[in-house]
Amino acid sequence: MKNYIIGIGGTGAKCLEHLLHCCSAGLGPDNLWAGMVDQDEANGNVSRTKILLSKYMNLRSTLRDENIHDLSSESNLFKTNISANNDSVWLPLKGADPTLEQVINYNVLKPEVKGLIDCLYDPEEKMQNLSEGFRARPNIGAAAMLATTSNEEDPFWSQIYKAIDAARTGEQVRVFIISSIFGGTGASGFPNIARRIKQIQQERNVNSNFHLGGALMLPYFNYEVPEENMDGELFAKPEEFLDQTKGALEYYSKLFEYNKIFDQVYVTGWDPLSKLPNFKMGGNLQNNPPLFPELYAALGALRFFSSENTISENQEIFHISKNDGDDILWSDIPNVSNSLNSKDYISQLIRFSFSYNWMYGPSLTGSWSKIKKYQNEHWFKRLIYKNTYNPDTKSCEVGHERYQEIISLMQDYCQDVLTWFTDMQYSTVANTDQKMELILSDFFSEFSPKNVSKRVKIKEKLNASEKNQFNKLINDSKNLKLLNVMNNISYKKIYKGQKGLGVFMDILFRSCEQ
Amino acid sequence: MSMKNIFRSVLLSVIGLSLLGWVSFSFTALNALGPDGDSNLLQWYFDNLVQSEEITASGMPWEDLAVSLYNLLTQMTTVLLSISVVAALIWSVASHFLNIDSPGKAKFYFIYWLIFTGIFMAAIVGIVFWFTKSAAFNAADYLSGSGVTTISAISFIYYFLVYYLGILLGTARFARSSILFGNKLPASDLL
Repeated sequence: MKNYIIGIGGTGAKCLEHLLHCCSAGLGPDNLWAGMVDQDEANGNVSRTKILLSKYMNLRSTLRDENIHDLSSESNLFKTNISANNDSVWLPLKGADPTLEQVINYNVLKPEVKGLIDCLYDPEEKMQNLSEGFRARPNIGAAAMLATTSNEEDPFWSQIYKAIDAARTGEQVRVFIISSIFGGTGASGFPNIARRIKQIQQERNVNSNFHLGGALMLPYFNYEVPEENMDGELFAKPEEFLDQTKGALEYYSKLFEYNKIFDQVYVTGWDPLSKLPNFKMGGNLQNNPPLFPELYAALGALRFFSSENTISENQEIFHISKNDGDDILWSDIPNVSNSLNSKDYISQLIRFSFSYNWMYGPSLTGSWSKIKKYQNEHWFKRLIYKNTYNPDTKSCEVGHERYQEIISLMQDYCQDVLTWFTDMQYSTVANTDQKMELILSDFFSEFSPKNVSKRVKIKEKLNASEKNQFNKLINDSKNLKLLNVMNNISYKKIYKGQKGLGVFMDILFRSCEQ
Repeated sequence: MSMKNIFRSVLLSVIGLSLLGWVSFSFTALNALGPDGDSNLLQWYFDNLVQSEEITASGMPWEDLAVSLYNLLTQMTTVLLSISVVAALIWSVASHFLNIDSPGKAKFYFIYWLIFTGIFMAAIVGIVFWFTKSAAFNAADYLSGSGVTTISAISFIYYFLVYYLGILLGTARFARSSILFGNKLPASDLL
């Protein structure tokens, strides 16, 4: 089965961020192609996901190399083979800072068409530079999207064509689109890209094996817009989100009534809305925190890709809700399938990240002269020494650059996991009556909501009493102490075919299982 | 804590104990059968452990003394082997509960092992002392100075080795750095 996911706009990119972490925990399908669509190429949300995607693919390919480091096919760590185009973000309008007028060649249009355009778009909308997205104007986004070429030569669309061709040859293909229903890029991209995909499917006469799913994010956050210096600017206004959503839902209601575009649609919203402290119109400063509802969309996508998900002939629309209270609990997180318990896998990844970042990663970092003090310990001999020993040089090479690079990449990734979850936990409920204490994070992190570039600061080192809080890390869970992790890494079975640092990484990951 | 790993440790510890422990078991069984007038063992006892002159002077029958000596050794080795087995099993199980929660921490528990082993060795010395100076056995009064030293030295070394092999195989894998030469154990992945 081939799986494709497309995150449209800032929200789509953020949902992809959740999905990538879930895939590294083992909740994803065997393979997945990931792409993003955003006109605002420098958008902080998109850049963050782009970097994460690249880290994921880099680490996975390094740790699943049958010749040097191999986690083995039995391992759930970085299970999903994610691929992407060289540039994982598709810009509908390429070129330097185009305006809508330029995109539709307004100046050469016939007067009557010009008149029609004038009715549909304000002068500011026509002149708005689009390099930072469609600024919550789906009418601009829709025109821009439709004006783009979606032919087979385009690297992004070529993947869609390949997917449809694969379905024609009998392979099961599932494509999933995530975006927000409000805003600009997502709201305009979701229906237009979906319809274009369906159109290609019909052109190629593919009537079976191809399934299209989507996740629509209803309003789930807002922010305060500063009053100064905003005159004449186009930007997403939170007070318009609900009206936009109402209009969009009416549109989708009509669309879905007459046209079966999606096989499954997952709709998610949030009440009360999360309050973001920083407003940025676009660009690299628009670096919004990961929020809990986005995790729902990501898990919806993973459910769609799950082999246990049987897709019916009729279009299905799913919605999900959390418990009625203000507390957000682990039990509010849905499972991907009967065999994939989201809480178990995500909490395992968090424990792994903690253990690796503060306990084991630092022991493996540095030159051999620093690392060798652990050489007599059982876990080191069994998992590291044997698997990084070079018989030619008769030495353990874990201190060499090529091993250190992987060790450092993993540490970096583990910090991303801890930052992601902690940021989500803090930011989803900040300035609301809600409570979210899925993990105990106060002792290892500091939260500065105003600091856009580094909202969550993960402590570099933990003292002994802080490390001891590991057993309380996951709330609503059985206690797993660091002593248990040490015990587990000494006894867990090494899978056949595991090699190099893949042995240690997988054993540590499995040792963090509840 | 995984009970499976603890049972595994107990099993390995029993294997380690039995590597040398069978000698003590056989010796105890041999002594329990009582003296045999023609046996070399009895001859060795009279040549090396007892004061022949004092026995002759006291008029004590040699046969009674032999029975008493065999009883003394049977009971003493039974107690010594039992305490070695119990100590090794206690350590093997307890090693799973040592708070070794991070790399490099196991070696700090060497001091725990040293204290535990010290207590065990003191117990060995105490038991040997009690039996060789006991009024409960007539034979104890007729043990020579060199005989007591021989019994003490052999017991001290032998039961330490029995105990050591028990804990060497039985100690939790992650705690092996906390025992003497624990990390030199060959085929440590299998044990």
